[in-house]
Amino acid sequence: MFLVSLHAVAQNNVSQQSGTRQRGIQYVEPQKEQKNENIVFFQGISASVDVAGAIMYAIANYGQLEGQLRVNLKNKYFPVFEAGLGYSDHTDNETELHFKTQSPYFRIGCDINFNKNKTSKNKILGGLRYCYTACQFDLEGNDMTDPIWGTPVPFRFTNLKTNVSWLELSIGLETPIYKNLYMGWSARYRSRISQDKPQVGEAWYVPGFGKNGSHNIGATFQITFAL
Amino acid sequence: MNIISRMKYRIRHSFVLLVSLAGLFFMSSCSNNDCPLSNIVRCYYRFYHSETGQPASCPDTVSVCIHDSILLNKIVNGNSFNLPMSYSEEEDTIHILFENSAGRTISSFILSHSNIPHYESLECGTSFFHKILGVTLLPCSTPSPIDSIVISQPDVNYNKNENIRIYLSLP
Repeated sequence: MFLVSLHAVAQNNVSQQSGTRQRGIQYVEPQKEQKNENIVFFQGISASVDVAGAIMYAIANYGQLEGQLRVNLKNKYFPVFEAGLGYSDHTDNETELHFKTQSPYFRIGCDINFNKNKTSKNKILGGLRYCYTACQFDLEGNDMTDPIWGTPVPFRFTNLKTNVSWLELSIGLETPIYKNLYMGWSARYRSRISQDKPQVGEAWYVPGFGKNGSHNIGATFQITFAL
Repeated sequence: MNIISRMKYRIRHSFVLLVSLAGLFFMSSCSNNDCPLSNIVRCYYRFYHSETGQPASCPDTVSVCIHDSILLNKIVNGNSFNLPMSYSEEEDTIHILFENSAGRTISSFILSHSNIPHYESLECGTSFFHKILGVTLLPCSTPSPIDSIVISQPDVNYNKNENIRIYLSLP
């Protein structure tokens, strides 16, 4: 299929070189698009913060403060490093079990820009990340009654340690809003690959992962500044 | 398109992003509850014939107490029973009273175990699991129907599996 781009100029054009006026329709060759191969390899570094996690950190039972450093390679590959501090302080209304944790987590991975026009500042990102946290948590519940002796038995634990690692599959969009400032979101599917849990049970919330389980779905909303 | 209209376009576009993100938040906020249907932790005992090795019913009337508390009273023709275990102590002394027309016999044994605090999730509450470490049959002044006691499953948890086999000398 042969597509021809026509720019009909239905007005008088004056050729400066010849000094003669030309009448009729002039065919102008279409401007060739800048080829993606001409893009410089290293496009820069950007830093971003996760706004959604920060809002949850402020108003909900759990949340995280998270930042990201990202390298831009040819506007196609984006190696990324994320680090954050996850927090939870939650008491169940019915069982009155109280869970508390505040621990860091890390992610490392790479995003790929699937937007065919690599010169565009809008990005369609898909990526994979490896994530890890070494978390400490406190667990406290009401005293239990010994069924034989009838005496109270405390259920109180502090600084329980757990190590969790997981993989994240990320898809998202990013768009510029003003000069070097960008805004975007990503949806993340998280799959836990290993967990080293204490004898009493696994952590209810894992920083960076969310509510504990074999898998999880989450999202981020980022404000990014291209350095 | 000037800067103001371009900003308006991007804000509108961002709004679409925000709305779709809100949908994702609702999805991720859904959670399921994996609490066990029964959160009772008991040690399960079953009677066996000492010669055939097959499950058997005890012809005597059986009463069971732990230390000095009667937990099961006058089970007739029973083949199994279950008992709680102490959360704080690591040894439970169990007395089984066998009554028949000939008289009464008390057989006692010590159940040694470890106590493991446990929780599934904040919504499910707390419990204690146990691991049976050993059973010691105490000497009896009168001939006891109990021939031997064997640990078949040392883990005592939410599963209603048989943990202890009591082999009886039955006619």
